[in-house]
Amino acid sequence: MHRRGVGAGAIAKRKLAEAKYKERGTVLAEDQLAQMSKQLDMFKTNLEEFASKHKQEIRKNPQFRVQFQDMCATIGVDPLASGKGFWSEMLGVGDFYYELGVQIIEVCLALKHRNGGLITLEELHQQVLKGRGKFAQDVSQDDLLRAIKKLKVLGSGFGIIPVGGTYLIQSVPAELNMDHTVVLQLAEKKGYVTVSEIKSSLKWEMERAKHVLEHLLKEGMAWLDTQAPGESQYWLPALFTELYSQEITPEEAKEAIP
Amino acid sequence: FIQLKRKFVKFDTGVLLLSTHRLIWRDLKNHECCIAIPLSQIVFIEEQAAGIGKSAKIVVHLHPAPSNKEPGPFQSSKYSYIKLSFKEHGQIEFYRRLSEEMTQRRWENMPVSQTIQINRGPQAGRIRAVGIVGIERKLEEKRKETDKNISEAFEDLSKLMEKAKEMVELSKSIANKIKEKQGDITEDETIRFKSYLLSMGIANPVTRETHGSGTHYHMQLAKQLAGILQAPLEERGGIMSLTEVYCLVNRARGLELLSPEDLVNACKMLVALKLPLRLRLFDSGVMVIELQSHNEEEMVASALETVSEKGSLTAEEFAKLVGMSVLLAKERLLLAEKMGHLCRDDSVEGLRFYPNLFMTQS
Repeated sequence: MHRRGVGAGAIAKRKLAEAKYKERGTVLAEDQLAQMSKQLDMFKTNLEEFASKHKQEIRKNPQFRVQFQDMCATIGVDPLASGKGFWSEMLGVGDFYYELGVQIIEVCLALKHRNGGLITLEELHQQVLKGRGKFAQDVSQDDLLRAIKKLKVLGSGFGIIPVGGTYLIQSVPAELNMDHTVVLQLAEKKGYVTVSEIKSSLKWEMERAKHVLEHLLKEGMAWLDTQAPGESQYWLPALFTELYSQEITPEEAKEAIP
Repeated sequence: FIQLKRKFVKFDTGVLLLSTHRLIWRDLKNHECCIAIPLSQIVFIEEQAAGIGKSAKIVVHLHPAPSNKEPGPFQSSKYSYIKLSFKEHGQIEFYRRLSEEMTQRRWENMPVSQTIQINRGPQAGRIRAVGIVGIERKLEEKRKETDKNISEAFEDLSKLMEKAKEMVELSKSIANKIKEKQGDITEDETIRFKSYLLSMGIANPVTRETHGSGTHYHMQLAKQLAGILQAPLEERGGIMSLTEVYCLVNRARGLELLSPEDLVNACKMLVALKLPLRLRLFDSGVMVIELQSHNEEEMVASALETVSEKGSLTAEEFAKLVGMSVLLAKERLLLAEKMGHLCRDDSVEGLRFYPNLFMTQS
């Protein structure tokens, strides 16, 4: 009986200790959350002060925006994650980029029938600036890239493909793997590419080259010129703009959305 | 640059200034070089538009030089005009201003208070007009002011980021605590924590089953969306892509826009909140919002009819016929194919869908 008493008592004691520990654990989290809440309020005040002095800078100065974004990324903060975030609410960065996102979507949609959903960053930039009108804030290519990165999450196939020092922006959910990307990069120099060029530059076999080119044709991203001297040429309309460009009005762009 | 025709005596890379009395050109590379022409010397001006390889220009036709002309870069020239070439921008505005000054001729009413002094001091080749100094100083001040503003902004930004970093550290330590406790934290506390992360833009470091259930903000947003999207969805046959929704909602808002992530997180809660819409993910990665009453599988049956009537259709043709976006038209045809009702003919001419006769006629 004596032993059982000790045993029972020990268990009971242990249980009590565990319960107390859990309680303390909960209290700890409570404390930290309370602390975070307080610090958050302080931070909000700091941000408000910063905004009152420098909000204009963010809106007007693309360089400053780049700096701002880079610093945020370094410390692990995404100022564009939510419109409800402090950054967005107080600095207005959110509205700037989210609206840009809408404009990008509209431009891409309006031109999709022509370029199959691939467009150079330059052309996108030009068209977006046109749509914004001359009284709108200046928008840089860096701004466009950041807005596009955010659009990816909507699932409609937004992607950024590096080619020859610039970027091609994809806006359709077409599968573009490394092979496709590499051929696009090859085509960027002249706006078109041939099977022989692919075979000699990339050292691929005929089958592989044809497979990639056919996929691009099917997606409407490449056009076939069978009347070219020598062999057929595969042209990328996305890279055409130096040769001809098409005006679209903001109204046309809006109409493009059903 | 200022062209003396054919004899390319180039003054290039400079800044052109217009005063009520003079046209002044200042070399950006060689700050000592500054030349001017009184406006009274100008007979008339004309524009030359830009072309391929040519920049926009203003041609300034001049009176013959008076005998008491101040010393300048040239004693004389066989040409009676100079050309101002605008390599970057500004031609249109400058032409307008110059025309105005030519019309108003304010130099006739206001005698110049300072005469232009040519300072041929001990430093050889130093040509400076005193009136210019004031303009220069103002430009310099403005540059310094801008620089000061920017550097102050950067300084303040750095300090702000330091504080933000502290918040990130704190949130990490809380997240660790939560992980350790494995479910001893209340739902309420989790939601609170998530909303703090949302405010700061810190990614949620805790992966739990409730991840994606969002915060109160997202719940509210989901309810709002259900209200806003009911009518547009009905107009569009019960289904819209998430990108369409993003544009529609943000265009309507005008201010305080939603981020793409806000939209996705809110839509993920639609079903849980028993709202009459739902988020659906297709195999291709495309995301749509559907009315609960919408049944895509039923729509497939009518799609099959349409395709059969026409023999075969591409996504573009189908879209036009039915009045849908190409994106959604394609998804419907792909779904029909998945369900075995259609089969594809994939050629370089495009992707074409046919009724699946293998199924129906075997």
